[in-house]
Amino acid sequence: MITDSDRFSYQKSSYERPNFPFVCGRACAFGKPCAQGPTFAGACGGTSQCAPFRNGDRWECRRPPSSGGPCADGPLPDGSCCMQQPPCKPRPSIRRLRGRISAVVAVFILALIAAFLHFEPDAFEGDRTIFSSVMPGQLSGAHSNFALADKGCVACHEAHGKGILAWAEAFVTANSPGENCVDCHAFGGGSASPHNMTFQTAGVTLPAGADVRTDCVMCHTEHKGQDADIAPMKDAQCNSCHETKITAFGRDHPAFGERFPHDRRPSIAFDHVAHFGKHFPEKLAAGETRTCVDCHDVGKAALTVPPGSFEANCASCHLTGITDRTLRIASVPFLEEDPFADTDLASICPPTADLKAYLLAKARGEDAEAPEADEYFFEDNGDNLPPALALALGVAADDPDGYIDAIGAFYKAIAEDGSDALAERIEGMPGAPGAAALLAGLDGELVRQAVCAWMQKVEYEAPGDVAGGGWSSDGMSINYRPVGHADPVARAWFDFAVNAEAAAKDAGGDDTVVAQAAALRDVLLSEYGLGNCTKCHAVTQVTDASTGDGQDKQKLMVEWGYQAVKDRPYVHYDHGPHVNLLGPGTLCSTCHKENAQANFSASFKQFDATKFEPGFLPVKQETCTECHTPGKVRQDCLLCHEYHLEPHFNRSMGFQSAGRVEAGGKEGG
Amino acid sequence: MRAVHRALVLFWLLAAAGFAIVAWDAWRTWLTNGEPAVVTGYTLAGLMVFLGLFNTRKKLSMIPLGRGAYWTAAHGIAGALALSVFFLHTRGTVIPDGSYERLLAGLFYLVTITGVLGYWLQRMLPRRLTENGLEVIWERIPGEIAEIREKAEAIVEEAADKSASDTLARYYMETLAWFFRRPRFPLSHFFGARAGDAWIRREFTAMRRYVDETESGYLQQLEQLALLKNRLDFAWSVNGFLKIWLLFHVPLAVGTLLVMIWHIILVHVYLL
Amino acid sequence: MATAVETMARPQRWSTPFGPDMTEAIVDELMAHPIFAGIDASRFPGNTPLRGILLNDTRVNSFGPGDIVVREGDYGNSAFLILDGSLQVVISPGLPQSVLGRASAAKKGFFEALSQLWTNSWRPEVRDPSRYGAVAGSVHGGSGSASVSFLQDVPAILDKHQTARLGPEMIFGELAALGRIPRTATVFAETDARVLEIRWQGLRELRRFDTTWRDKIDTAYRKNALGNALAESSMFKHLSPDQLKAVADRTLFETHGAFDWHTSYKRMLAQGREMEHGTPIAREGDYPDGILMVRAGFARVSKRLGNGERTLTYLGAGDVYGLEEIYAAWSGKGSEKGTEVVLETSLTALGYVDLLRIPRQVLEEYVFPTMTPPQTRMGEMAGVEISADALKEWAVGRRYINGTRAMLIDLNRCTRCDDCVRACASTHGGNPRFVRHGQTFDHWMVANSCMHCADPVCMIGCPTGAISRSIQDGSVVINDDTCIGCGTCAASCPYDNIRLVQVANQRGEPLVDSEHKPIIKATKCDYCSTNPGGPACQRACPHDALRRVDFRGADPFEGAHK
Repeated sequence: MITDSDRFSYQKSSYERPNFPFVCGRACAFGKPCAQGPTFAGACGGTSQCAPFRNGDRWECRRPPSSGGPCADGPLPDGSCCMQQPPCKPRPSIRRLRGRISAVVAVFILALIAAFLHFEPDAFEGDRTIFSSVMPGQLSGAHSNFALADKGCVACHEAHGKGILAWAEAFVTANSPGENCVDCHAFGGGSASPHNMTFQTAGVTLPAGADVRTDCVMCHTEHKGQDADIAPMKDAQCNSCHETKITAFGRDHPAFGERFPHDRRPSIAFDHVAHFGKHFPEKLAAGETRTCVDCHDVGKAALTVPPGSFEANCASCHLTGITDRTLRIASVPFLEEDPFADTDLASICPPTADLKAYLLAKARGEDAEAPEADEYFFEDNGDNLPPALALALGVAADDPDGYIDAIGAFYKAIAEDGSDALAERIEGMPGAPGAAALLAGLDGELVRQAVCAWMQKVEYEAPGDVAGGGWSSDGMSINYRPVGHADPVARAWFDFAVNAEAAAKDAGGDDTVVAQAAALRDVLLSEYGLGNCTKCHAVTQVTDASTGDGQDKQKLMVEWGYQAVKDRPYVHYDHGPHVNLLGPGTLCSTCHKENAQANFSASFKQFDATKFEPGFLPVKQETCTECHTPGKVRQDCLLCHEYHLEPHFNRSMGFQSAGRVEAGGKEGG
Repeated sequence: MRAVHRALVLFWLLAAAGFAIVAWDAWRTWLTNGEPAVVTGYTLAGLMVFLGLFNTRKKLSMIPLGRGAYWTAAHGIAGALALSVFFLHTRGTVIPDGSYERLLAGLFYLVTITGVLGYWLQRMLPRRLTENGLEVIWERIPGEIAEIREKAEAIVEEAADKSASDTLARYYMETLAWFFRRPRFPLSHFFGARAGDAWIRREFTAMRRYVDETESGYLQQLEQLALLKNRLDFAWSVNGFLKIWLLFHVPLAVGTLLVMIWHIILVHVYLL
Repeated sequence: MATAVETMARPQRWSTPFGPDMTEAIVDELMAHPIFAGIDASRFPGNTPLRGILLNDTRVNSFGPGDIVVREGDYGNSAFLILDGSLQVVISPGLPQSVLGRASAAKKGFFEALSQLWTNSWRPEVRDPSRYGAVAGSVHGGSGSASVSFLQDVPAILDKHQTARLGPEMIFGELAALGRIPRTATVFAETDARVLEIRWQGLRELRRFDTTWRDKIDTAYRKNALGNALAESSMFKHLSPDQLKAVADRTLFETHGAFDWHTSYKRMLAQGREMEHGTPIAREGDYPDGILMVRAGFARVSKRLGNGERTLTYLGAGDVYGLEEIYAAWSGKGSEKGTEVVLETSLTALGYVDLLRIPRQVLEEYVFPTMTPPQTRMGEMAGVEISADALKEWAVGRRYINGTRAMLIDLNRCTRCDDCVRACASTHGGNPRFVRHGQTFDHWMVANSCMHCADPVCMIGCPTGAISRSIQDGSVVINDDTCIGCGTCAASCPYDNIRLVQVANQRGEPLVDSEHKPIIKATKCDYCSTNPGGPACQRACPHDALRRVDFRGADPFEGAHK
């Protein structure tokens, strides 16, 4: 017993064997355990305490010393031990129990995995499951509605549902779900490069060996729940690449430029200072024109607050300035000799009114005086060739000796073939678009009759003034008058003319032709030019990427229509909330303050869009930091900066979802 | 300072340094838009395997694999490190979204909780066992109780013989037999309450008024036995808790390791 | 069941003779040798006749020049009688370990150790019975011919080291054999020599039953003991050889306590009077006629406290008693000048103690004039708090001071997980070799595991020499092959650290003799002497609770009793 002083003696206490897997069942029931203990196999080892030995004719006890040595009573007469007891049922030791429980847990876990493979056969072998127990979390809203619903897990995970071999392959090979993003998503550049841009394009040199390959899943983490932000980019990540480390917008951000927010002039030469200072004061006073929001559509406020249309904002003052500027396409040339003297005009031209009257009278037998051609018709009425015609003929406009033959042949051709000859010449101009654009709406007969009249040295009598605009003749010339704003013929002439000089040079034209092209351009760009378009529309030198020969080529471009300035593709700003915040209209000037000193319009006299003086004082960074400062309003990089370049969707995606709607409709029906 | 304490300090420093390295690497990887979960995940897997090796070490005690005390220290510290790396790996997420990931996280938490509990038990209980003053091998307690019971029954029989009264015998049958049958009040003992003492005091006080002088001596002997047995009960309970907490910790650890392997397979098939 | 029982012959005392080559012819030759011729054979009892002793407890070893007979530091259980030839004993300095060719213990290799993982039996105490059938020649772990090695350059050794020649009829090694202490010197053969090796059981019988042998042994014992003991002591180190000899000549030699002190100790222990056990050597208040130097065994220094004796410290080999008092009287310091010298403490033999008594006059003549005064006085140790000494009293009372590798468990750390027991089983064929219970004091437990005592009383009485000191590391080991399961050692051990087990064959069936009596073997901790990496129990303890400690060391409890 525990209190015995000799309880540790070798006779009383034998080795305890905690390494054994079973313990005596009697002990487990809080009875007295036997000395032998259970066998290794878990059977009771203590039914009898010894195996008696037959010595001659008597049985002798052979109980081992560990059990107390030979017993007093000795074996039973039949030779069996006198101390027998029914076998106990040994129980596993705690450690063995632990092993068993561990095994049960292991089997349970393996069974769960097996159940996944068995009861979700589609997930393992099959491909369109949209739910799987291996899913680590719900997809974000958009993805669960499109990618998952359309194609299932396999939309991103290629090995999904493809069986054991595909799994094994996917296990050992590198595969990224990010490769499948571009099935739907598209960008203004490669999807696997930072900011969808190559660093050569951006003019950035990276340290040698730097890996600039990116993968969508680097930033976009899915399976984080329906409402999760799957692109949780933080400033620190921007700072890790960008050399300018920005810890706070107000502190480290480079100062806004001298002309912020624009690095280049707008597409429309609208001088806010002049309009508000010179043109509008009376209207403002009269309440007819109110404020910025009269022209700018606050309802569309976003990156820009776009102005309203020409018709709404400008036409009341500027429409007439368009329609009273014409383009002369043909006229009576100044000639010292008559190039048509030897020509049988009667065979190619209809008779003039005088001649017709004379011939009619003569036919009626009346005496009539044959009309006398005005010998000095060309000297009296003629003028230099209009630039367009000079360019079309490839002659100097002010050199009668030079152009007499050309104009003679040209007018003769017109008289013979009608306006086809004109169209041919017009199309022949270097860099010219089709005659259909430049001469749209021109009546061939008008040209022929006018030319015929001039060849017969009479003024062409036009069939009356054409109302509105279009091609018409004033007797001595043929002109085009714009129908209104955004006249397509005028646009065609401008688009052609601004680059005509360069086109002529490229085409190998001689100096004369080049000079004529320049003259045509100068005429159009002058304030008397057709429609006076460039009074408002900027003509800008741009890089022509369409040549395709790899060489960047400069060309001029008329900026038709209002264009939001796109010189900061990675910046986004939304006027909307700001307008609402500051109150509509009047408070635009909180940020945008007019700069009366700026020579805004001067910029539009030349072609470099970046050389300009904005009509507004620059928006200062301090303007933003009044609110965008720690503790007030967000100021992280992604608030204003966009990571991706022109993110959009692939067209195929539309088909996909359309197909889905269709299929869904069918199912529903 | 004991060598083990020196090792403990060293291990803590190593763990702190290891965590700092992994955290720094994860931070750098995250900054450059990489996936830090790969490094943290394999670090965690390595730690889990190391933690599991503690059990293997115990089975391999025949070869010199370092002192067990160092392993215990390393096991505890690696456990704390694993918990830290776990949250680094999940980026602070406590309950993940996916069903099997919840299973994995849940098992991990349970293993951690049982581990912390076990650490606490192992720190607190040995002292209480020592203070009990009755050092006995746990496996032998049933036999000791059986012996005490036999002795108690012998006393009752002798008392019945000597006093020709069945008061004690009846009392034993009605009340004491229950107490001597097996260890009693295990929870009370574990929490350090004295339910056993109180029970003995109440029962024997109640009985004392019904016994005569002869029986009184036997009753006193019985009370001594009961008090002795109560101390054995204490050892049975407290030492028993030291033994059975591993019944939870180890199987849960096995489950965690298995689900972890499944997790690694899935990540490689679906993501890497 | 009866049919499956495997039987074998019961091992007997002398069933394994010391030397397999001993023949009756050699015994005849020995009996004619002058040293045995004078013995009165009739004084020997019938079951251990003189011839039987010579036949079974001795063997004749032949050595060539340079062969090592005994090595300094080895534990040996036998004495040697030179039959012919001459030997040299190296007195000082001792030979370097490399010259002695001392090999480390034949440890298992890593994979051999690991293989225990699957070779260990799940059945208790399984043995391979075939081992018991063929008991080979030198199975006994004494220092015998099996471990002879060779000294390369004898002349150089004789030149560099102080040596002494041993000639025929001289006896040596009896000190180690009877005192159960390590060999004090290396002995090697100078010429071809024949040496009779007598294991200590035989020596014991000879000494017991023959007076000439007793005188011879005691004389040699004394002579050999003194020379080395004095030379090793820091007190006498600086003396010249002549002075040393003069000291030695006047030094008295005495032993206290019984050779088999454990028998009476166990009796007293059972009565709870273990503190009373011990033979008084010197009493507090007595007049000291000299200092006492412990050569072997343990003695307790105590002082009267109340009704009992308070243990101040205990003395082991080399420690000195009574020096402070005599020196103080000699140096004539303070109040003690002129007063009578009185011992401040008592000295009691704990078990068997070999003492040297060096007379006061000798000390005053040779030692005190050049000695640095002793710094502390044992009597002053009584100033320590009584409770602070409780652990020490316990260790002394329980005689744990005997233990060189006692298993000490800090119960405040121990979670009772039994990892130590399982580790032990894993290194011993699946069988634990200790029980994790034992005497406790405060939060300390000395578990029932062999302590590998400095004075291993278990070895007394082993009829076959199966229990012995390992030559390599001094652990006390039992040779399972030669153990006859008589239980003498288990009964002798005052600490209950040896356990008898019934062995079984590989199928788990108990091994029995022809009369179906179970075959019993004594088992105990062998300090994992064949396993790599030291004791598995200590290595396995997950909480640093279990340590194997040397109670003779400075602080076995590691500052626990601050």
